[in-house]
Amino acid sequence: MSPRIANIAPIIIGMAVVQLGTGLLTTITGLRMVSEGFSTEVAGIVMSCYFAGQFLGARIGPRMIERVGHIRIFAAGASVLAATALGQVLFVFAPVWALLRGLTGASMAGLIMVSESWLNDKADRASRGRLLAIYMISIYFSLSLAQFLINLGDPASFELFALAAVLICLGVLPVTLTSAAAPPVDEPSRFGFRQIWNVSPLGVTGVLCTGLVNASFYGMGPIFAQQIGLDTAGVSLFMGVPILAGLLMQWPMGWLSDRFDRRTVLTGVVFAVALVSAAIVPVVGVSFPAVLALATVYGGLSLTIYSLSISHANDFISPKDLVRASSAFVMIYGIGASFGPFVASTLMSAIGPEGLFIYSAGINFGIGLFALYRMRMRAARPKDEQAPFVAVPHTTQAVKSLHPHADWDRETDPPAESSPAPTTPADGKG
Amino acid sequence: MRKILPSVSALLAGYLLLVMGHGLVSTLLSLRAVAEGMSTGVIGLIVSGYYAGFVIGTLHGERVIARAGHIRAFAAFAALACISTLALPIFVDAAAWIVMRLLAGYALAGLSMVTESWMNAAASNENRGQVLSLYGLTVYLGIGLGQYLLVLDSVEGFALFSLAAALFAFSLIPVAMTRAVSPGGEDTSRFGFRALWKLSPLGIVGCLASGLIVGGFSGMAPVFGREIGLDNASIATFIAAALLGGFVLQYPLGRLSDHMDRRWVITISGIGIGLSSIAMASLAGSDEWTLAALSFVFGGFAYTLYSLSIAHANDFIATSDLVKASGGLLLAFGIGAAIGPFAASLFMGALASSGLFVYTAVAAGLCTAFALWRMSARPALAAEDREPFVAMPQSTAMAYQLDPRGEPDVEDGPASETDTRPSTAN
Repeated sequence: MSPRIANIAPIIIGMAVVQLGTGLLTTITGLRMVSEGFSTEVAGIVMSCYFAGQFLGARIGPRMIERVGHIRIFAAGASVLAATALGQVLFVFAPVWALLRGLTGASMAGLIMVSESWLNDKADRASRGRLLAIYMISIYFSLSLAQFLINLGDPASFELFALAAVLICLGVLPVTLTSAAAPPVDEPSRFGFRQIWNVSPLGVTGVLCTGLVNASFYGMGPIFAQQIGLDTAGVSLFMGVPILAGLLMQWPMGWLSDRFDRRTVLTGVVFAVALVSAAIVPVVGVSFPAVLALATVYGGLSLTIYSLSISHANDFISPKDLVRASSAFVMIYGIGASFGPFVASTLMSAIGPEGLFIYSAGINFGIGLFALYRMRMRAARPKDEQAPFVAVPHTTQAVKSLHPHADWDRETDPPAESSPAPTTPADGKG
Repeated sequence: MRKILPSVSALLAGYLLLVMGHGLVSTLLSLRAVAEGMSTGVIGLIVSGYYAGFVIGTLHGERVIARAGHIRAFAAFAALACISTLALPIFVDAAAWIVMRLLAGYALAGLSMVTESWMNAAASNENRGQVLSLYGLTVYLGIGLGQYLLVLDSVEGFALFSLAAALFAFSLIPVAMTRAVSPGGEDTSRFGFRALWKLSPLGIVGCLASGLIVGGFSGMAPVFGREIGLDNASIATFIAAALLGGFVLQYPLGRLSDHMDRRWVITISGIGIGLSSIAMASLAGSDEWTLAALSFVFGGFAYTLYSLSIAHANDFIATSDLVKASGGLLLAFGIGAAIGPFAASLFMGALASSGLFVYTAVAAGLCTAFALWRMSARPALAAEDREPFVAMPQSTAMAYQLDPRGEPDVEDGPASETDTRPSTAN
């Protein structure tokens, strides 16, 4: 374990410090939009742009990582992040903010792909759960701490934005100055949506759910808190405590998912989140302690869905596909997250602040039903097309030869001229 | 040149953004310090802090580069520069500013070393001189352009600091994304001062004086401009004129020094700095264009004094030792530049804003007197014994490897064998 920690410490520390900055930035962006008098719909659109940008970043990112490597993309992405934080405070104007949030999202996609594929490359099946838990805990710890940083200054002023940029730049240092080796990038991979769906439909669904719901919580949570009458300290409490709960629940949930079927745990969590969300609705405006207590349970459960889904899927992905798989997950998350905050904000302006949790209850319940349906499908047909992938994880040749799609082979096999057609092994077209 | 551009264009683009940010923030900070009511003595200390950091960076930066490689080190130093700039408007406090400027100087030294050693690796013996002038052009152009960014906003806000920080952040993008191959490490061992002093006392004194004058001017000229009532645009022009002068006069003065005793040209430069300083001190109330013209003359001589002193020292140093000697000469410049702003601020405190140019006149006068004394102490070298002049931007030791006089490829082989001491690895 210890040599592994040395290999992943720089990226985990770097990412945690960057997330301290971006977590702060996200919250002060929300608060500043309220104090600047942006309407709730405009705020929702600006927040959605982040995830639209993340989608685009995930689309082009793998090519760039394959071109210059993990560490340099991390540095370049972080520098764009720092610049967008500064740009937001230089130009307080909704369309510019929408654009800058898009850039922020695109850069974050790059950083997420770098760190997640780096981690998964250093992990094996025995250590993946623990490594991913360390990573998630460090990120949630950062995001949680970031919520309390807003007390250091006034979101209507520039200091907090500058602080966010400083933190993001600090995160560059451990990653660029490390002597640990980044994962090698040799050949471009063709791993995409279709492949990841084949590997793990439930993983995909879980990540989609995270995008739809958690992004709304991050983006619209501060606005919810302000609308129910909390001051700045109250907002940071409302955002910080649930995220802290998410941090504390990573280990137990990871442990549970190692012990029992990960899919069962995931489905249970999704339904539980639906119930807790529904329970928050009637107490909004009645009792803040009750809202906070339920939101804490909500955070503790819903913030584990992402790591449960990712660790489930990554057990079955070969090292050379890790960057592309991470990109696909970021995009799936981004698809959910581009719609989430906008729909939530529309509901909030129609119904009131509790619209946020009505939305969350609805989505989680729907996803839960879908997960049940998928599990029945799988139980009814144990030998369906996913089974071979489960049986032969991490064996590039095996996975490749089993793969039903022609373009896969075109990319990785020698050209047809050099290997006579009759002896081409395991040409899985069909 | 056409061959070298693709391999260094990303680097130069990044470096241009960087020196623009640097040019902006160094003038901006001095002006902001005036606006905050800090005394000239304190402002002098803050600016001196930057150069002290720069000296530390030239001594330590190469270790970072050796560990992380050029591209990653560039990214790390640029991030550090960005952080040190963002902290300035957050912590408006003299002590915090000194610390931040130390950090900034350290980072800028590291960034310059990466850039210079990379340029060096990309250059061949035939085009080294051209590469060096391309680099020099980038430095002067970037710092000059950076001055004009001042007019975009008030120095009392945070926006210009954020702009400078954003430039630092952006500077690492072309470098991080380049496909060009970055160079391996180089040997950058140094000559001791004592050995250098024996070879060329005037070389050391000239570099020191150049640091005293250039360091004092670049940090305190914004304060001077503000105190005599110039607006931001005029201050930008005042400083950019000196840089332009430095760029334009390098070549004619350098060529002149190849044809006559170089010490005479150093003397002429000292006198030129002194006279233009006295003129600026006494004409401080005149219009901005008069001042800009005087600043052009001042900068022309002041920025060239450094290259002349290097060229003079190199006349007495064996070709194979040029790079080693450069470390010592640079250190002399850095020490001068670290003392300069604070010393200048003491003059300004005692004699009002014009004291800046009384100070530069005194420093130039001492350098001139030393040059005249050396000319009586040692006969001139015959023209054929002199190494040709090369224009040098004030920067880190790595730039000397670009110096075509060095020709490391020819000299390294047999000479290094006799030189090798049992290297005790520590």
